[in-house]
Amino acid sequence: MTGSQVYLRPLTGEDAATFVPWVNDPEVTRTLAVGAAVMDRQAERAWIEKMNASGSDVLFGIVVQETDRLIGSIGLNQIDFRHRSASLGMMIGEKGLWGKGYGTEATRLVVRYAFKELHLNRVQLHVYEYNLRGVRVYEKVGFQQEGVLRQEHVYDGHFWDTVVMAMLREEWEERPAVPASGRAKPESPLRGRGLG
Amino acid sequence: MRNPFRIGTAIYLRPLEPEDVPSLTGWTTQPAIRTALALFYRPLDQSAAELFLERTKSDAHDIALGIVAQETETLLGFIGLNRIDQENSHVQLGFFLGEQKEDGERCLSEAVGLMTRHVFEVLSMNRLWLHVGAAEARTINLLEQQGFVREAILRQDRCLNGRYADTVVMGQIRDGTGRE
Repeated sequence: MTGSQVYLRPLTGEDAATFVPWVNDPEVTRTLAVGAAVMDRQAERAWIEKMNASGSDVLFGIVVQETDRLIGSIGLNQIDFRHRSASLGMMIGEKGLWGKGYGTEATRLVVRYAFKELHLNRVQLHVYEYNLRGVRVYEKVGFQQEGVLRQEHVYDGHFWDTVVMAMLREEWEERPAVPASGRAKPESPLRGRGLG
Repeated sequence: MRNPFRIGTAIYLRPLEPEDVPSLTGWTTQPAIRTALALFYRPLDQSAAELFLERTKSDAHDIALGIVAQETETLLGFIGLNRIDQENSHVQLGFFLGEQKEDGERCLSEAVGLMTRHVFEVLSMNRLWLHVGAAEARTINLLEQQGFVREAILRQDRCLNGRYADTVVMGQIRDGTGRE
């Protein structure tokens, strides 16, 4: 899948080395559902291969077109074809590239994939309350807040609320076409690993 | 009472046994139960039910108990904890009544109360939550009386009988904010 700034490609075990610094960086993982696990290259490779073999998950690498550089991942988890729903998770690992609109464009591409190619009816995600930039990004793409799960997450010794957001197929169909590069505000990484 | 795990006034909770399998297979064929749970959409035969019970016992993240009437020793239904998350100190509650009883709601309410105390007082968890179909008004009311709060509505979250339906996320917090 190709946008105007990024394209999405399958990840392979060879990409694990690129991800290891990201998934061990507290600044990156504070908005992710990765828990306190320490990830080495072998564990990261196993995770990528597990996702690729899964019938209920789809994982893509986010690559900047101009430089052909892998900067993160995005995917759908817990794909449920009976209820036609899935959970979205994303991570931009390259901190220097936050706020460039790459995550927004990647989200739009995956949402389109979910509704158009997988024919799903609902895409949902969880955002921690302190990830305000993440909430703004997803609202911009068209996600709506459905509620707040109180004290659902522990981070830095405190309980934090989790915001539930979702977009329905009918909402996606009604949205006006947005140029893939039509944003430039800062955003933060979010990556789902069994969120939900 | 046989192997009571938690004791109330009208019911008690006990571990599930192989002889409970026929009850499970019988109840899960009832349309009302399958709709309420959005579960068991495939027929559950004896071997599948045995596997289901075995899995709940062997999984460290699950607890499954039978709800039993003290007076008659009748198994009324199931109640359990799933997805115990030690790191974030929360756990999911699940239950259903298979036997239709005049005072069924009272029995269920008592079972939920026993399990809630177990979660906060014994397991020392911070949060107990569950998903309920938005159309299950009586169940939602029962849970609210037990201190749960509606936290989110997942729109068109489940497809039942060819139509999309909403799901309510209900939660209760250890510090009692759910009772405000």
